[in-house]
Amino acid sequence: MEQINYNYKGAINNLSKIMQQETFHKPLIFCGKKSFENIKPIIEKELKRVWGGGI
Amino acid sequence: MYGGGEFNSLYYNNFACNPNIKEITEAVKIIQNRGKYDVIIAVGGGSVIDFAKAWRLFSKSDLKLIAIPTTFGTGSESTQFAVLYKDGKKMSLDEKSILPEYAVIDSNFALNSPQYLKACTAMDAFCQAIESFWAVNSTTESMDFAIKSISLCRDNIIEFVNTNNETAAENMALASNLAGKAINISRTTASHALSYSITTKYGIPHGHAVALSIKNLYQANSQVSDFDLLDIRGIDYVKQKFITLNNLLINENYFDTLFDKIHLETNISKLGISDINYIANNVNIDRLSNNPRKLDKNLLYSLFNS
Ligand SMILES: [Zn+2]
Repeated sequence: MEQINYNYKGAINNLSKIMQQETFHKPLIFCGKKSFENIKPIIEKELKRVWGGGI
Repeated sequence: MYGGGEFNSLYYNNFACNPNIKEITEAVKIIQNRGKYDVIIAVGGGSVIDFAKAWRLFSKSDLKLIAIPTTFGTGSESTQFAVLYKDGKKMSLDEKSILPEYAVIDSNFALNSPQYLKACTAMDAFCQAIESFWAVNSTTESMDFAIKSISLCRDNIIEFVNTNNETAAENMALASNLAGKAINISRTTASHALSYSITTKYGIPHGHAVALSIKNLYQANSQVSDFDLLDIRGIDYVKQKFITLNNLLINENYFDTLFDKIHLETNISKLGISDINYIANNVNIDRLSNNPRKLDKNLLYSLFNS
């Protein structure tokens, strides 16, 4: 198991790093009901930043 | 369930806290055309990460899993277990293949969470580390993870629960991750074994349910004798562990002060828990047999304060 980031800042930066490194761009995301509203825009924004306008 | 538009992502949140088999089965059915996705991301507390692990197993998916915990207690991002419920009973998946390939840890998620949630999750990490340390199946490696986690919990839990101090949150996130690594090797013991029916029958959150018996379990286990020892490494070996814990200033009195300072009620009558018999009868036998001391029914009853 690869463990990323022990400075505990910027989960999203680290997620991006993994996505880029592995060229993932079609995630299936499981999230809690409560965190959904907060998390979706962050991940979408990040996907956009990493992959530009489209794939 | 929501599609993610131009990026072909899918968000799935159709399950409750402490997910059950039905919800998993449904998710396996609903999330069709799995070839559409190239990675699984789980963002949330232990339940969410466990749900993603179970989904991956049951749908025989070979996608990699990135776990992003937003609470710090179960250490689910570093274990090969997933807890699911079936007809109110806890089931534990224990499969090497469900260990996430990646864990992204950001303690900022824990800042500003409600105090009670922080107390429950932190106590889960703390109890996992302590139970792992004395577990029959502990190894040199698991004990090393456990001791590091115990020291971090001891030094940070009170500040973590009561303030938004960033360092305390970082240290508790690390403590939780280490405790997960420890129990991934050793498994847990009696406090966890008793906790599952408390959660299902009385709705007490996992970390709180586990904490209810840890103080008396500590006392009971430290009085282990040749007569009721379950660890084949011998009585001296096990007694030495309690000397080590004592040297870390972890002892019976420690817990009273701790529960006070993190505002956690441990009197079961006050929590509305009345049927200890039911809890003792539904104890998880597997985890109980991993406890260093053999505990009979009377000893199990004595683990709770009422
Ligand atoms: Zn636990």
